[in-house]
Amino acid sequence: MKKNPLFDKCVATVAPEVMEEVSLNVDIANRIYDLLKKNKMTQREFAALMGKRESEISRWLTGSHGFTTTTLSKIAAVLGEPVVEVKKGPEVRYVFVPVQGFITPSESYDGSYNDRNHSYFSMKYFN
Amino acid sequence: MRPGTLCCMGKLELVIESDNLSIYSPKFDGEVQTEFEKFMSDNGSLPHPQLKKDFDAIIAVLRKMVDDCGARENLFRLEGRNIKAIPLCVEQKRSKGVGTLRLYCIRISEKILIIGNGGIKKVRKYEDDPVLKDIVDRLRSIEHKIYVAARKTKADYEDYQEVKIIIETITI
Repeated sequence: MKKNPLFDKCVATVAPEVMEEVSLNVDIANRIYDLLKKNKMTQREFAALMGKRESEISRWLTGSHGFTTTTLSKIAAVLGEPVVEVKKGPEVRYVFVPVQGFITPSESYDGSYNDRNHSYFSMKYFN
Repeated sequence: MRPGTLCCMGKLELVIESDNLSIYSPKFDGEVQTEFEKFMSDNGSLPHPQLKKDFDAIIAVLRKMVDDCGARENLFRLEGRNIKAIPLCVEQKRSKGVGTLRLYCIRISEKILIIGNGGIKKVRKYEDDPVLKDIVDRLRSIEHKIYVAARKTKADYEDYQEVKIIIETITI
């Protein structure tokens, strides 16, 4: 591996918001490109479906274009998969797991059990 | 060196290397810096905020390629034949007359990039600026030499090790 001190110095002076914007735009461009390949769709076909010129699509794929949510939604509809997804907060879920013949130790009983032959225990997990 | 001359000899020097990407840059005989280092030195402190943002965007894209995605083919602006430019992946309002910063390169594969020099483009086509034209013409000459060497050895551009040997031994 090789580093370049002058390049590292330049990277250190890049504003964090510019770094984030570039990273996001590149990720989106790469995602659209990968979805085109997955759908075996040419840029020309995609341009026609989006109602755009091919040159505009080409620019999209370089990461130089800032997308609106409207356009991202349309792209997702055309390509059949989301382009970007918003991370959702943690969700608490309860799962009841049937365990044949399981006898709960009394101190862990949480009121979920019905009979000795078809016992259940509940498990809490974060999504 | 005057614009319009293609006389210098030199080598391609490895500037940055990661698991995702190897970046080479021409270093001409008698020069201390590679062409990419010269670009960074000359354009790293541009006073106009629009050009400073262009420079930051170019550096950020290269950082992204080195650390993450490599030199994916969709990410490059086409400048004519096999010469590409690093894209500006930021949105900003552009004032007239200020120009746009350009950095020219040769994309060999997803894992090998040869970065030349660049500058502020205030004309519609780079051919209309003698300095930019010279930079692109020199890169084009280098690209042709690599192509000829690869054809001679029947090397596939996607074969990283084979192409690496050509790039590191070629005289430009």
